[in-house]
Amino acid sequence: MTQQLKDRGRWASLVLLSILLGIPWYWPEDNFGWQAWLVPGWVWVTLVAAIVLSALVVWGALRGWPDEPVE
Amino acid sequence: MQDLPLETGSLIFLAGYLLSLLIIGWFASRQRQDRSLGDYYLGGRGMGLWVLMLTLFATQYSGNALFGFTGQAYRVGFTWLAILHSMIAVVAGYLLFAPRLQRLSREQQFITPTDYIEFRFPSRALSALVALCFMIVLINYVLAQLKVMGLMVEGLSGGQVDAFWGVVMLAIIMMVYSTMGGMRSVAWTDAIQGAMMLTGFILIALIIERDMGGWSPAFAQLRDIAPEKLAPPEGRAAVTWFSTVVLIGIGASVYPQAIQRIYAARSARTLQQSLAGMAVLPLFAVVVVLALGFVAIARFPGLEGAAADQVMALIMRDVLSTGWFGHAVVTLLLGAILAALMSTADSALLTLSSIFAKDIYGKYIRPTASDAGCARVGQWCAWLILGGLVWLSTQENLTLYRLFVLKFEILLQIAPAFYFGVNFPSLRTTPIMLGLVTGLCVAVSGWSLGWMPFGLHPGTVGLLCNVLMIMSAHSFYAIKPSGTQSSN
Repeated sequence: MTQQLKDRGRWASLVLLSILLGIPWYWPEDNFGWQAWLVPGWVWVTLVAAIVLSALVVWGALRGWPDEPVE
Repeated sequence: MQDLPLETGSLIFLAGYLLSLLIIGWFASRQRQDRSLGDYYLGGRGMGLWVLMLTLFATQYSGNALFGFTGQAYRVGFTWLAILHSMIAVVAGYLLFAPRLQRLSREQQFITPTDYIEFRFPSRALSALVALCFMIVLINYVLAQLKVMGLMVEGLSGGQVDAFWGVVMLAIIMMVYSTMGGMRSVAWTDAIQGAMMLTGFILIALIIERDMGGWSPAFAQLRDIAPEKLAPPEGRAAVTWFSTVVLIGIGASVYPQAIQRIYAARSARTLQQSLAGMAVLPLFAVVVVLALGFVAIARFPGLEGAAADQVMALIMRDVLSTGWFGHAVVTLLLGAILAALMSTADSALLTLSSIFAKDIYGKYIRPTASDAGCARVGQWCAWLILGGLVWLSTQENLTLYRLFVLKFEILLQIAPAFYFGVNFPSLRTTPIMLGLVTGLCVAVSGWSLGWMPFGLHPGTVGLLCNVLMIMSAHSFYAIKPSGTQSSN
């Protein structure tokens, strides 16, 4: 069960990573009305995506890996 | 680099920093347990959490991170945010192979990155090719650092010290402490660099907000002056975004010097915790570096090509004019930059010398040589290589970013050997060898021709061909009747 969860986490991370990398494709127009604050909306979305990705990697490092017993 | 009018106090601080490196080298030499290669090149495999995290951080964030990233942010605008995702993706990449590799390195007593390749894929030709690729990458890496070192010394001295002599002075200091303490002194100086760099970034961000008009007006000005640099990537640029994340995310995770740090971790848990910390650091370091580049678009318009790599220096010149606090922060940041350049160069040089000593001298030239003998040869080799590179650093005429990309084109082709090798036990040597050769041919020829199909870097195209070749060859061997397979 634990191994299954780890595998699921690993694949989920990869899928999410792929989605995050695709962000620029889905915001070709800056139509979120966030332009008024510092930078366009797509930049904020990209930054939030980076934070999520970072959190996911932290989780992966501490919980999802490695699959060998820790010394 | 731009001339920076530093006061005597700042110059004394920088000189004191350089002196402290020699003291660290002496202290590290006192910590050596024996004369073995493992003790010299891996610090006795006892690297703790903070040193490991900061040395991995310092390995990833070199002089390129400060000058190259800001320069590229200035040149291309917000589409360079791809580098933020790339630097986090590097850690994600580590997670796919590093924990198992660390465990194996303990069991098999690996010293060089090539040791794993030779253990997993027993082929002399493959390990020699990988060693050669690593050496080319490391030479490229050291060369890039030396180039910036020269520019920096020239700028700091107001042009009074020639770039060549600046590089010579710093290279000698670097070699003395790394020869004395090996990986220990290199990792300790890396840790100091990492801490200084993070502090410097946070303080410079505060200064821009407090004393230089603030971030908000700077971005507003940017919208007026260069709105095209705020635009999201479209078409080819969007593909290049993806390609950059793949290129750097996968390529940087197999830096040979980073792989040696994986070997040097005290335990699997130490490595896990260090990688967790590494995943957060880009959110501070990279965001500030990029923001500086973006602000510079409005502040220093009109810089093109290699001149854009100077924007960091231009910002520091402005920060200097804000008063004593600005002066202190710039001094700290200059120390961090100097440290970043030196620590990256010394890490690469140490790995380079280990590959030469163990994988070439110890295997092909004098297989009967003792560990101590190999380590000694490695030290001399490092001096010789550095001498050649110091000379070369004054001859080349490439922008920092171009140097930065070249090494990834090659590293990316080696990555499948680590990623697949660790995770797929049934994978044999021949598919990896064929994939590597195919990937290298595509990547290097594409790079030399300046070829970027659909906005993809030649290295990414090479990786695709590499992986396809591995899969095809693996399938071919898998369906061959038993008894007809080669031993590999």
